[in-house]
Amino acid sequence: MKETLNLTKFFISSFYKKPKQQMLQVVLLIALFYMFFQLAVVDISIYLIADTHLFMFYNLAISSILIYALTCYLSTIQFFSFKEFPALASHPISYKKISTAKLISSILVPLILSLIIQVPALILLIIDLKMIEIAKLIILMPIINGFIILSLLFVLSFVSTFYYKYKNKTSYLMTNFILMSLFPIASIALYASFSKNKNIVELFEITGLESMAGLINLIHSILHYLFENVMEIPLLREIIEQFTSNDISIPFILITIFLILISTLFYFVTIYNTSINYYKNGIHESAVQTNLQGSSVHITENQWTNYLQREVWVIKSEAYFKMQVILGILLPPVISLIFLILIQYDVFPATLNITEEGVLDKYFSYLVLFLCCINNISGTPYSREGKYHDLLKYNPFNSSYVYLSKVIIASTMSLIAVLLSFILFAVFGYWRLETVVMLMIIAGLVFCYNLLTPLFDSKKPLTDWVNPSEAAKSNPNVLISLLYGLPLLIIIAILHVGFIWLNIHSLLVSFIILLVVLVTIYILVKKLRVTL
Amino acid sequence: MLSISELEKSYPNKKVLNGVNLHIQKGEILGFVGGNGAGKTTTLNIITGILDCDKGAVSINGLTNKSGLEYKKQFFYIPDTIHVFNNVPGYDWILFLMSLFNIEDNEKLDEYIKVFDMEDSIKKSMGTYSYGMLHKMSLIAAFTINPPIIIMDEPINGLDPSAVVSFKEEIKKYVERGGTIFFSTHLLDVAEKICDTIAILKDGKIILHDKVKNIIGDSSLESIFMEAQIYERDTQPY
Repeated sequence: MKETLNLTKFFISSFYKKPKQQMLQVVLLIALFYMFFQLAVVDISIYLIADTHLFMFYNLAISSILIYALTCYLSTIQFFSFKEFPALASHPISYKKISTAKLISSILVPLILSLIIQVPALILLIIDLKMIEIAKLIILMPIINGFIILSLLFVLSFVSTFYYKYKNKTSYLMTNFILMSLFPIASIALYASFSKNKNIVELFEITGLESMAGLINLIHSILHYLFENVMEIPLLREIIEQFTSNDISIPFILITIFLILISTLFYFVTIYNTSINYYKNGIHESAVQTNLQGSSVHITENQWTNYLQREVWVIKSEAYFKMQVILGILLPPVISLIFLILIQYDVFPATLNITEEGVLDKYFSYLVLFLCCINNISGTPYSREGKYHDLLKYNPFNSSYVYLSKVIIASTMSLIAVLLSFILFAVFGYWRLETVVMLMIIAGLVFCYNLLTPLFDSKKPLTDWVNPSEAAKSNPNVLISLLYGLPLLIIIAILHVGFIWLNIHSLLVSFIILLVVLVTIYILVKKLRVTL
Repeated sequence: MLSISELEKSYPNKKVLNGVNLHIQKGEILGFVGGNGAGKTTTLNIITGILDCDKGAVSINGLTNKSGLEYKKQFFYIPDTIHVFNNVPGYDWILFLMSLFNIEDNEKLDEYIKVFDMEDSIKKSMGTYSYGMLHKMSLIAAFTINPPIIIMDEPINGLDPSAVVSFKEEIKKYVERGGTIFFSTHLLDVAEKICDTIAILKDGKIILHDKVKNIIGDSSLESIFMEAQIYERDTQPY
């Protein structure tokens, strides 16, 4: 027991990595505070707009989404990776104890974080002396959250049991990712199939948006609308009813016991699944790391070819990076497809004028552009090099070539995503002559974005990582790179909208913006060549 | 004590171990010598359970890897690349390792911390340790735990001169207490001075295994090694 507790502490402490640079520490602190502040504002707003019943429901919903996202992330970087195997394999500790420690740490971290974000909600309830709701928030909320964590880990543990059968880690990570995506997709499908209420568009038409009171009314109606639809789902209705009501009844106790029992079952099965083949999986993990497929080298007189090959090697060095690239390519077309289907079903309110001639392609293009920025693979190219980054320092590498080859690689990924999205746009029958110009604008803007985002990472890369996710998703440079890349895109998008608003001909505006983008690229490349 | 018989291991496109046989007696210091890629680390990883072998068997005091945790309590392994939890202090990690071996002798631990001059850094996170400091920390853990056999992969790499001296002294004391040492090394002069027995590995096979004095006679281990033409210059590019 003592060993398991100690090991749990070690796993929890290895979940995070405090950046060494003070500036990054400050940025990270601001980002965390901002996230907490944002959630607190949402909490307070719902509390003021809606009743306690709805407040409790949305509190649960936000917490569940956060818990789910955190569990997905933490399970990928720790619970279902076997990075600790070389550190523990030779010591006299059972695989069951290791799996138990890993599982407990994977439950505790998201649970504690979700409890922290409940502090504003608790304060609000204490002010109003709503004791039953407070009790439910403290007792039932962690139980439901624990159930969510264990349900996901339980399902994923079946894949993890057979990790050693996967030929490469990318396919293993992709299987996990697909399973992780299935839960939200299934939830949305469930919601859609049970949704019996009127179309959400009608709410916009019924409620006036002219005054502040109208806006608050609209938000209240939307909150109610979503709540009522969720309450149509049988099993969920029972749980939510018990959670949001202001009494403690027998069904509440029964549901609590039921959730605890199911969670306990998931807990033990998950430990069993992860420990049964732990040794084989651990050896497989070590083999994956040591028996990397050798990349063939093609030395040519063209320096670009040589430098670009190096970038490909960096991406190929970790399965996590490869998966990130795949996701970066897939995300924009997938979301674009959903967007186009929603347009076909006329879901968006008429006030947005989305389907209007000359407007749809703008909406679509900028949606694709910002989707390309979400999976920010261009923000951390130097950090991803890890321990090999020092090679750049003591070998005669041309820094401009290195920088621009990183830009080219990131832009190529983004351009594939942009092209796939625009092909879908054409398939849905929205293609016009102006779309070609929009495609060129977005391609140019993606290149501009990728030219700027590696700037900070090139100066202060975070190369001292063990887990590749530390170099990518949990790297504070990702946030800073957004500050470098996004303002320019936002300015150009505002400029574009501004011109249209001034009633200048749409095609002419597009050409002007394309010209602006091309000039920007020229200036940026020229400037970078001098400064790098 | 430690017995390895007919050990075989292949990686894709390469057979690393081709029937390794080795027996180490209690109280012996065995130096495991061989060129780069000869299979030394692979052998140690198989003994310690980090790798599976394709064929053959390993036993320590009659226990095999299948004996579970009792087998792993027979040895303490210090690999060349030491994997750690970065945010955990070295002191906590050693206490954790001691608990796995049911050792609670904190005084002995503090004593070894002083011997290896780690008082200032032992309570810092292991992520801040240098290569040599990680090795010193592992040596502290090994000598405090005092298992029947200590297995080490290139233990002197990265150690500062005073730590090397402490290492040699502590090895002698450990063997006097009845311990056994099995370590791989490239440093032939060190092996010659410290070891009772040398085993030379070439192409996945033990080609020479005898007492140091029997092997070198009037010569040196270095010349014996060169004569056997087993020195392979590492020409592999990084």
